[in-house]
Amino acid sequence: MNHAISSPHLSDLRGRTKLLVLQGTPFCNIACDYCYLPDRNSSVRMPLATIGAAVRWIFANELAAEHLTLVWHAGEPLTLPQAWYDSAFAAAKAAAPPDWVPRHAIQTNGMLIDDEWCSLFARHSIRVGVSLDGPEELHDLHRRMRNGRGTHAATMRGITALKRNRIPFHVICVVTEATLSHPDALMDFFGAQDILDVGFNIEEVEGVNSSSTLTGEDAVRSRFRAFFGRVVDRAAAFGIRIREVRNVLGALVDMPDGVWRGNDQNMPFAIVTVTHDGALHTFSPELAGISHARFGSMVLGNVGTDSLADVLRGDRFRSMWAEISAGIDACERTCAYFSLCRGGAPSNKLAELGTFAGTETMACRLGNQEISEVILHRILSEMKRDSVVAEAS
Amino acid sequence: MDKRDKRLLLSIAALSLGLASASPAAGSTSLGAGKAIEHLVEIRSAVKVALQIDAGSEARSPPRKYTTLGKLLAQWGNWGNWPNWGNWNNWPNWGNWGNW
Repeated sequence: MNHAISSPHLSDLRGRTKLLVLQGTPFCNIACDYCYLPDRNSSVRMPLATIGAAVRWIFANELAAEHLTLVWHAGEPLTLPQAWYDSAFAAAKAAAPPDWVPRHAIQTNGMLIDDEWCSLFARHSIRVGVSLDGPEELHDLHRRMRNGRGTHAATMRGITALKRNRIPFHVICVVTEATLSHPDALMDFFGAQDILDVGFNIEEVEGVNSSSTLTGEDAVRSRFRAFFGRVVDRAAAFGIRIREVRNVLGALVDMPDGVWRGNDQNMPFAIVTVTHDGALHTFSPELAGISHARFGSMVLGNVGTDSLADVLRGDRFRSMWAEISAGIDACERTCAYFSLCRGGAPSNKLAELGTFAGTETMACRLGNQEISEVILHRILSEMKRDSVVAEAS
Repeated sequence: MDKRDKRLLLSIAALSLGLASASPAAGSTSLGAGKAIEHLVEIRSAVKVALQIDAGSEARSPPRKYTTLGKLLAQWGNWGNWPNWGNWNNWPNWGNWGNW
């Protein structure tokens, strides 16, 4: 049964965009060895006119969801000056309807955060995510500067500034093979630092990152499940809220609607990514900037010249969507976890399987299936305990 | 609310808030322990029953001890679409980036 829409019409897409990813610059001041982003050495900036054009494009095409978030990413956003953001936010606001309440978010390596940045975060109510892979010995394994030096100390200085200025933040921790052996050290570190909102991203094969230390079969899978189970246990010792736990619980109670069976990464225009040059992308943001032998670049148009109707008529969108849609259907036919993940991530499928039409990836096995198993086992255990108690009483 | 539903609700809420790990089923960390996904229908049913009951009582007259849980439930309603790239609006449940 084909649950994905075969050819989206403009009316299907109205109000669907929740996230507009804007690449203020592709430049990054560090060189993590697992990064998926291309062009990290380029210091070009997105012109203010392009920011306005991007926001105008979303609203003019009636794509904006009730709560649209603009996230500044796809490069290290804090390498741009603070004054640039004041101007950028003003340009975005000016291009939107008068009643739009802007929601800005930044994902940063944290190294440049100081009191002045915190002032900007507070002034614009910016949601801040910091990339931190745990204690120094884990973090600095992969998150290094171009000269090879670790970045942990600088990131922790940034986190100290956030705390000093009472700026709420979350941490995203990339899990590599090395992390799997140290769940206690990892969680004890977060607990000791009073870092209480953590998301775990597995080291994925995607974008320009063509390999992962987590690639492997049952041994890695088993270790990952043990790791994540221990993470959940240790989180309880500190009151650390784990994004993945709540994602699974949310997926349990929130059934997909009848038409849009996919997730935000595989449904068209749930996420729109605009790179510094105004190039338009949708589906997984990790697709922005990469090139593929069959598809060429993933650019679907430009916010300055192309309408949504142009994009939907274009050969590239149509061929991408045909494959992605087929992949969602294949996932639904073959995977028991479909109702929790809803068809996986196109960027992972393309990078690992060479096609959007594929199904299970390493990212699925670890990031979806094993995490789900840990959480579901615990709920099941509680249910069984209740049954035993009820029968005994 | 049924005592079992209430206990399950409290366990789930505690799990999501990082206040308790809940007790893992014996052997659940090994691949040979059987897959919990095979019980998805009954798990989903039990969870939804527990949550709906609490949501209903919350709507009528919020019991003081459920205030936090009520807020949690309201958020859960918007937390579908895993892997959740788009849910940046439900602070702090946002940002499922790639390798950052």
